[in-house]
Amino acid sequence: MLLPAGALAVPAPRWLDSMTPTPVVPPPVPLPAGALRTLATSPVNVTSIAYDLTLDPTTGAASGTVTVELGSPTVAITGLLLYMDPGLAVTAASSSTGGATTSVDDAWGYRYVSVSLAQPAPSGSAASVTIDFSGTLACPDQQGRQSCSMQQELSYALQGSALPGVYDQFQVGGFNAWPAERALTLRTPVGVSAVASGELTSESTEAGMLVRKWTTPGYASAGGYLVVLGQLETSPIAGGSLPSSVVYAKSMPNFTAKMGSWMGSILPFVDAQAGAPLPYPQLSVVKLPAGQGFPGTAGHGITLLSESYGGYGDAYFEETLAHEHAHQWWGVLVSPSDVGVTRLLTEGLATQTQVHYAARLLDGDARERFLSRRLREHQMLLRYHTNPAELPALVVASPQLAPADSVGHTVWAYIKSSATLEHLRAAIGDAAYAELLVKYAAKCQMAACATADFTAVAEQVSGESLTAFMSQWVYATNYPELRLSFSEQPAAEGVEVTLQVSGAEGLEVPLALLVTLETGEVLRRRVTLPKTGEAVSFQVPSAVRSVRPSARHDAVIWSRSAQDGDVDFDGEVDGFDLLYCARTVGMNTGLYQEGGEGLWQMNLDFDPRCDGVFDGQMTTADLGGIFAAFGSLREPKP
Amino acid sequence: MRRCFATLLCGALALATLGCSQDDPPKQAAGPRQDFVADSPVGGPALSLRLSSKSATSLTLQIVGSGIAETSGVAYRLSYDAAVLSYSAQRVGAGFSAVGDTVAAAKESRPGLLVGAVGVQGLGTLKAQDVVLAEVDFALPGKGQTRVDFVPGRSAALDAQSAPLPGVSLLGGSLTVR
Repeated sequence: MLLPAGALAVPAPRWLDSMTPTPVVPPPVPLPAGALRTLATSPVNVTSIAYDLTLDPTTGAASGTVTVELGSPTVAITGLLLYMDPGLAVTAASSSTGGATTSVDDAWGYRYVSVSLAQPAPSGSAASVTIDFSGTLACPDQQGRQSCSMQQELSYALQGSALPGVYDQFQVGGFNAWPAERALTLRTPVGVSAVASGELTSESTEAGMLVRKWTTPGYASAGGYLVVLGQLETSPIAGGSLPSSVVYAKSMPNFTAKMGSWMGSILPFVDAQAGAPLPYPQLSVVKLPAGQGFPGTAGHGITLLSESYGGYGDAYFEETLAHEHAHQWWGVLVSPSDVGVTRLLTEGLATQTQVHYAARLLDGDARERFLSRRLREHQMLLRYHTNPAELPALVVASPQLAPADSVGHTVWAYIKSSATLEHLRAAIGDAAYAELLVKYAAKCQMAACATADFTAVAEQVSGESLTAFMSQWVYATNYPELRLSFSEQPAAEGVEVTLQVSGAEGLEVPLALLVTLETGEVLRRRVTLPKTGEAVSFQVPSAVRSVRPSARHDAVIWSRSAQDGDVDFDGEVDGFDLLYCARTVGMNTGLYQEGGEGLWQMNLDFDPRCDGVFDGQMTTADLGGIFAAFGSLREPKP
Repeated sequence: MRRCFATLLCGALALATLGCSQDDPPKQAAGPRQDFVADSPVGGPALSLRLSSKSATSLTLQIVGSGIAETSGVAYRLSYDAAVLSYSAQRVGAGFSAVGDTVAAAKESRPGLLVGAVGVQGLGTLKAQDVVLAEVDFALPGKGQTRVDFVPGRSAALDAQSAPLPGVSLLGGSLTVR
């Protein structure tokens, strides 16, 4: 058995309270070795998938045909596997090579249909397989989500429901399998509105039915493939680079105006990030009603998000919409072929995008402070709510090794991925990272790329080898606990600062440093700590008050001052350290706190550096280390 | 009543007029005489030192906040001549105590350099309009003159997020022990 198609999405609301898992593939059945192989490893090419679907959203009655064109230069084509709604039955099967037989197996809320060709298509030839189906959509719960929902106001059908998903005979399929062109002909009763992934090519009335046709170019994509239909209204979005509109259930206009306004900022932000406008004739942004089966996804020309996120405040809703829309690039148009074993460049990039979108109006120190605080969510989720030692590397050897539990998967796919990308961004600098995203998008748009291609572009733009970085933090897990101290010596032009660091031996650690001079000016310096643990030096114009790593590294690099009790990295323990931590007494790292922020409603003022006992609770006991060392000062400057 | 007593005492001992110009003038016992002359106010928010009391062997300086709309604490360093002053003890001023739980620490890290802090524990702020934030007791090891100054960059009133409030003047004073 195989996994149904995955979807790009956002973390599901209230992951621990509800049964809604993270919006990637449902918890897997044990996969045979080699399952979910990537584009590069499948010997089969699926070149097109065409649906002709008649659907009445008021009843869920569905009937249709899916035609799959496929072939292989090296192997004979013997069959394929479909997965669909369990309310649908196969009524006929045929192939261009003769007949076809089917067998059915129901599992995990899906109907799996194995199709065997009576006559295999020889290698080097092409085959066409056509399956007819009909029935009434059951839209069952599928491990906490639904591939379809038939409701009067707004219905949807994802791939795997009324739009059967496809695996080839080698169990390669789901998302990102092959660059198959897709076509959808949808027939609905008159009066039913519809939007779908793909580009709308025609709309007509035939035999008393509304007939709409969409096509999607052939490129490997992790994007969702779906149709939304019902009593829909549209509201145009101003300010984008392409015609765009918010689509919503006519009777549920709440949030629509806000979403339209936000998209007016999100569209240009994401365009700028990718360095290009979206290559669609138009874009639909669908507001899903709360609690309607899945929280959101993105596909070719369509972005969907549940209004459930409105429950976390407008600011968080807006940045979550930025996340989902960022998937237009990071998952839909640029889709790493190794997405079966990593979410670094899909969920990781989308989560990083949402954070930087939230910070878009800030610059300089204010931006650094905002990011430092915002990224505490990442730090706390990694360090207090999961066991960092148990979370696998960001690229795993096989899909089965990715965390299957809801919390673990979310932290791995979204939080650890984006925290590591932020570590990279801080390490190579914002300007180089921005160039990286533009060049990566240009190189990999609608192309067969993988994580290695991203790395190659990153090395090109930064001019630095990232071999160590990738091996230490992407293909393996490391959370070095650095202890930093610094000293100063007069230099020919200013002051030479020597940074001594312990705790990183054996690792090559790039760090963005914030160097605060005694004048109050904050300078930025980038250094790379060598594996040998040797000190590194750099020059600044005048005497230094503090040297600290950018907090944007914090979720991955657990850095502290070598001086116990010194939380502001000036090498001294004084009132600034004490009062900073005293303010947080009474705070904790718990989820869903009253007054908390973001999806998990955490207290982002909690600073783990103050948590001396490291139990996620700030009490006066945590101040003990500061009191014990209070008044410890560095040697007077020369 | 206390103020009246102090005023009478001040006049009787004919202390320097500047030292007596405060609202709560110092007490003076027989023996060495100390004159503390606070820096003149410059307008706007300020942290300043004010003589609270003195004896033959000690004196108490108050750290006073003025014109500060909202502060959660004061981190400070005071520099002085160790031959004239020596730190003894610190107490949280009534202003912070009224807000809730407080936190305080002080240590003479080096002779002539006091590192200290007073403030609110947990969330809470104080409007400091001529409010005593801390009281610091010093011993007087010897005679002489010294400036008593907040160390710039290492002394600040902190805002609700524990960040230094900008634009707060730091006003020390001059002490003479004869």
